[in-house]
Amino acid sequence: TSQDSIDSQTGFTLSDLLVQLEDYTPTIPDAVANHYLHMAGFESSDPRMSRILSLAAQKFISDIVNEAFQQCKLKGQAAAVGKTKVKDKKYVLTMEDLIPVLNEHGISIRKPPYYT
Amino acid sequence: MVEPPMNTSRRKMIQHVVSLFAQEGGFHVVEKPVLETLTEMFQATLFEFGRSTRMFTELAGRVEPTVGDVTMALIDMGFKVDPRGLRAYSKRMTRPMISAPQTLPLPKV
Repeated sequence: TSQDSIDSQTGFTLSDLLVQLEDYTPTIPDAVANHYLHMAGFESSDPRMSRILSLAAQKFISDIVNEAFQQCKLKGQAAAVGKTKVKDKKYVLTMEDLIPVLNEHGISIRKPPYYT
Repeated sequence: MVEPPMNTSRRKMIQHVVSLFAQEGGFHVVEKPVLETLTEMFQATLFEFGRSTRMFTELAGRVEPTVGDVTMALIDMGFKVDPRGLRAYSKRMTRPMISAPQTLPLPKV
């Protein structure tokens, strides 16, 4: 897009993004994000600062979920080969889909033993 | 540090957000352990962002965090700093919205 071409010429930095977060409401309410940030000792008079952190955390989780969905879809396609018709396929986010995605991100996760 | 109880209203709100992300991604059902894992991860990520940013602010001898501190914190945690990706993410069309929690009116003095 034209916006992207302008950015590639000038360079879009995190401080440029900060300016755009003035009237932005993230999915997670500011009050909730601020609570966890305050718990960690983070204090800022600028509400945009905590918004940028909450946005980064949201994107992190969102990306993981989207990657898990790709895994799940691929697995579903492989299973559907040979079957006549698959209708109203329900996609379920399971631990089996999530674990390989998290391993790729360097996060090792295991099911607790004896967990049903 | 004293750990807060596991089922606070904030945690429920994060679970709500994670569920919305899963729905946005295309899932119909999310297993309970997955929801718990992602909620815990979200909470831990946000906490660590805050802690790390605070550390970089104090290292520079300041009390007010700057964008540079946030950038350093993200890099230190191994995240790719991608302002364009973040902007695209913040402006995506399918962005779910939840209303801010109701707050009680301040008591009259």
